[in-house]
Amino acid sequence: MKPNKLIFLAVLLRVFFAALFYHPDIKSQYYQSGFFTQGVINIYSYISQNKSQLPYTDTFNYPPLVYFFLGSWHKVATVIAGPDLTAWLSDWGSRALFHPNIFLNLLVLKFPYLIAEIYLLKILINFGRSEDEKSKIKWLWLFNPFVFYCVYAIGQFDILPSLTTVVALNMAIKKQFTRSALVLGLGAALKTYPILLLPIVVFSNSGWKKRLVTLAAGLLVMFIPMLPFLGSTEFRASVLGSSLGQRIFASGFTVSDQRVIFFVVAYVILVANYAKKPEQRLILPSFTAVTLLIILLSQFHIQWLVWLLPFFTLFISRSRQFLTFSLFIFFSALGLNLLLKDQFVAIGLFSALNPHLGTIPPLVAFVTPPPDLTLFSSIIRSTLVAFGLLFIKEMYDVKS
Amino acid sequence: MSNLKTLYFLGLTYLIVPVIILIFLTVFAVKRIPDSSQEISERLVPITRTHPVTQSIIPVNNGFNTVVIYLRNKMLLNTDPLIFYLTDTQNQVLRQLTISGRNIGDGETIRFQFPPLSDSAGKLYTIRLEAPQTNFGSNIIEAGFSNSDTYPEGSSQDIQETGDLSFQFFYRPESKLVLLQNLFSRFVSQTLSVRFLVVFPVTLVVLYFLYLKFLQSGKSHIPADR
Repeated sequence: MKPNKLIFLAVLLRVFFAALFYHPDIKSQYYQSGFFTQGVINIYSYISQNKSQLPYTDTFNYPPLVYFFLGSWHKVATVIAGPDLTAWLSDWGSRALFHPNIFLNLLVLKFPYLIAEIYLLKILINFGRSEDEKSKIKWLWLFNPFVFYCVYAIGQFDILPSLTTVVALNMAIKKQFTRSALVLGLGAALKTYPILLLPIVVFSNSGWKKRLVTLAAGLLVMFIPMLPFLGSTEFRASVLGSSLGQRIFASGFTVSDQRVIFFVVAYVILVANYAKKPEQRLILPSFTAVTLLIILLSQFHIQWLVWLLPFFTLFISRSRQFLTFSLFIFFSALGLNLLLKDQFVAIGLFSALNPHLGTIPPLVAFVTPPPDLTLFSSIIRSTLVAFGLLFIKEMYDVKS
Repeated sequence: MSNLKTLYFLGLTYLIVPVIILIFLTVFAVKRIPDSSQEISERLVPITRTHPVTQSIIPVNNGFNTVVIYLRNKMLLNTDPLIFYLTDTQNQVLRQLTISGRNIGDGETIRFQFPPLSDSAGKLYTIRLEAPQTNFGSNIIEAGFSNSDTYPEGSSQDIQETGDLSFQFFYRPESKLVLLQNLFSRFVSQTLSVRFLVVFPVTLVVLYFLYLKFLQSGKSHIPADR
């Protein structure tokens, strides 16, 4: 079997999944970002003020940089796919899935993810410490079913912040800490979570002056695109009100009238330990541990698994002992999401191929009367947390 | 080399399994297909004890089994029962469903699904929505209506009403073979569009060469950890 033939198959699979699988989030994101090409800068206020005339009225819940990026690509995509693309994005009627060019539209809208993924893999391969490891990283990534599912079937833009964390990791390992912080800030301007990795980079630096500069660099890049919008009530309600923070601060228990938040406890221990012991400053395990903790201790979306994929790929390429943990973590996470009332994480993904499948209720709705899945979900969540913590322990054990 | 062969078969599995799932779902999971609709909702008409909402309709296909109606339960305050009737020309009730106001949101489409009517194509029926415990002036459920006659096949039975109820109909497919034929013809029509025939192969070739270039230029790297 020639490797080039395999690479062609891997590319074919990507294009196939990108064109044929549909989740409504990609449509809503590009529909709303399309207003950027019409000169709308504050999308948050615009939606609020024009709700009665818009066919899709949900708020735009992402930071401004996402709006500018997707809006710019929307303009380019219209040139490739034709003006029909905008018509489809604006069609929120019951016949929208019967559009004649839906495959073309989906493929063109997902182009940026195809490019981001190649670049991510290129950097990731360079983390291999031997030819064998590099080869494992390459093939593990190219044929990872979670890449096809999360990046191309679900089609969210999480591959972009994920790419920034890998670039930042690469720079931090090369001791380019300020550059690394800048890239993390850029990632955090797309999705908040990369900013949680910033303390790792900051404390990797020596001397408080350098640390402050690194911290400021990351925070500035994150906040600069948001500055013009901070005065907007709609922006604060849509972005800050529905941010990652709301989800990761949810898990905990109450002491008196305050809450002990699990994520904050784990995060502070991890960062404090990192800052205190220079001999144990392991950047890759620390990046992985923080990202994993977010998934373990929050009400995550299935596409957030993309944040973990690069780090897990590296660990599995180094030792098979991580494979079992990774499989349990990813399948538990998938199981949790399939129990959600969102038909588009499973059967609905096929609705571009057969629009009638978009009307089929989520998997849990097939059981009548609807079962109480709380206990079942809790068991899956507990499994996820247990294997996640074991993964973190193994990472540090291997390195120490 | 054998590992690469395994990967090749794994990759082929990723291509084949979705196709099998798609065919399976198309044959066994599709229970309703869009029939006709009137989706314009320009104003809201109250449904109360003394004012039911009625609309005559003519489904296009046999197997009529679902009506989706735009309803609004303002501030989610109404918790009264809402009864859906489907009657024939003799005013005989063919299907009846009762839902609670608790299940109706502040402006959303509500699905009324019932056992299919096997010979519904082209026949005249009437939809009636009643709220027997809701008085006018209290917290009411409202139905979306158009301002003008946007559904010429039927009309509201209320003589003062000029518009039509906002609805979508669905039917249960009679033949699995027709579903598969539709699936195939849709796939062919989507992939045979001129732009797709250009964009798809160009994307494939460009990405392939990008991958070859990027993946074969891995530089030896610094140690990956400190």
